[in-house]
Amino acid sequence: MKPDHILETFLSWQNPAIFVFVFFIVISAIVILIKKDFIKPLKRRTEKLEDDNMRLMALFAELDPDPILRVDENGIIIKLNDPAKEILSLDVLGQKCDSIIPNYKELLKRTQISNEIVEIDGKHFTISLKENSLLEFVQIYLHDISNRIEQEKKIELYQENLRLLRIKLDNQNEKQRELIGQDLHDNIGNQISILKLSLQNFINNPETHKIDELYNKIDLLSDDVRGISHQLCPKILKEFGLVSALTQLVEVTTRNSNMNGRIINVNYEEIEDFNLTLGLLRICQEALSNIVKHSKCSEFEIQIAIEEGKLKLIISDNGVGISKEENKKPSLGLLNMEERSKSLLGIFEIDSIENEGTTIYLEFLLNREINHD
Amino acid sequence: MIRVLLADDHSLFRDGLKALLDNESTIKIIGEAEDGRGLVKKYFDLCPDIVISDISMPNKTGTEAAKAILNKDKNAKIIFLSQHTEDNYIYEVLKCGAFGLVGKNIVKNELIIAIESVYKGKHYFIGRTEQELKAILSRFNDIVEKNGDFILDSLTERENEVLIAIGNGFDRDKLARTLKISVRTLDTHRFRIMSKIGVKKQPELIKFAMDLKLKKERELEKIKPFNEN
Repeated sequence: MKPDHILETFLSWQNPAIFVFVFFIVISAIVILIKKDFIKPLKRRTEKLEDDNMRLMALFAELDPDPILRVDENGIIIKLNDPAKEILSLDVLGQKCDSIIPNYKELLKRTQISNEIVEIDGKHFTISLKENSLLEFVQIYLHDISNRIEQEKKIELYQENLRLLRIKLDNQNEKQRELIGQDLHDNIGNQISILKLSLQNFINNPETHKIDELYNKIDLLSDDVRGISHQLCPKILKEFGLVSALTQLVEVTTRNSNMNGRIINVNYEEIEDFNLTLGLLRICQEALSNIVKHSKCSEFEIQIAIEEGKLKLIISDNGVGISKEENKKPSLGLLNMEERSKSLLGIFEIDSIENEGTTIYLEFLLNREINHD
Repeated sequence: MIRVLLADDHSLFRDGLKALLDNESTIKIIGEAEDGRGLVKKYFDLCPDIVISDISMPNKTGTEAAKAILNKDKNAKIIFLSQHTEDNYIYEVLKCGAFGLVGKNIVKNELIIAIESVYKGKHYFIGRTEQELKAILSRFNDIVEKNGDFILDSLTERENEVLIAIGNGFDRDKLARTLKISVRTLDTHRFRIMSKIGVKKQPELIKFAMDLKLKKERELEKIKPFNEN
């Protein structure tokens, strides 16, 4: 072979090395081109997407009315939205999240968090975590449920009070029944037996037994029946109305005491609604009994007025008032009044200044429709 | 002859009373009513000398009927019968203008005494003296504040303040704020004032307060030139 020929052969496609060499160059060129024009923008686009995503998350976090915290992979708080700033001071930025949410790490491990409640600065929040593994941060979403918890506590207290009231009412009912039963049996029943006996004696022996005695016995009996019936239902309310019943109440209350009581009737005229007037009378009875027992007042008054279709009743005294500590314990008397007002769809408010007195304010809509079952 | 009209919703009780008075020559029962409305009607139909009525009756209570009768006939003489003869009942019966109250467990003689003394125009309240009756009246009247016993001096300092403030314009919430008291407290003062000056409605109170303000301003104007002299 001639050297020329060898060279020619070497440089021709017949030489596999050349083929491989060219092929390699072409491939490299393609790879470089693709990398430059295609992958880079793709990566850039991905980055941009992530960036957008992050910005969106940030934006949503900013707009969210609930507090949101962002925590990096080391568990350090790196961002707060405005609501979060309101409940947490800015100092928490850069601090470990555990210092605010003690069970943060534990929560993070769990895949699902349901009904978890955390307490921060005396407030209660439900919590949910959202992890962004690509960007290596966690967003903590809090929802303030302090109001709900407070309401729940109030309801619990209310229920407890109701329970106590219920027990008191039951006891009172039982006591009343016992009393009435005793009265009927021991007193009325006995008297009727005696009367019957006397009548028999009178019939058998009209001369020695005087009819006056029989009259007297009947009088006593009717007095006792009257007493019992009055206990059960204040007849004066039905016969003369609320102001008369209140006047009697005040008179009985002040009769043997150093207190002065009065009724100021601004413009009240008797109303038809017996349930309401009976309720009001009972509330006033309770209020006056409280005044006698606790107030140490020298004067009290009941004001009654009708205004704008509402019946307003104000009971006030110049006594020692209800001290704040006492106020914390549910006073069954007050509770009773409040419950009664509520059942009549009324407003019950109590205002007390220590050593100046107590005022109870009641307001009822007139011409209402309530089912009295 | 004393002509009597009976009113009670229990016919048995009316019969008992009739039997009780039947053989009295000076007393004659000329009619019966079984409710308040019937009582008023029969009263003006029959013009009796005396009415003997139960207090609790359907269709107007006894006292409501009495008021209706007394409205038209000031000289009507009414005696009430009631289970209750306690002081508060005496007070209510006196207040409505009736002449007497006797217990339902009454004996014949007492009823006749009651009828005769009321017929002569005297009160008969289960044997109480006029003095005792007066004492009961004043005791209960003291409890129920009479509307309109007004003297400006009788307003407390605070009430005066409230009244003046009302004269300057009435808006419950605003007023409470300027006086630094709660709306409820304002109501308490307001009702006391209304009761003391004897007005029953809000507009009347406002008018009163404004008149008072004008009067005071006029007085001030009168004083001014005097001071300047």
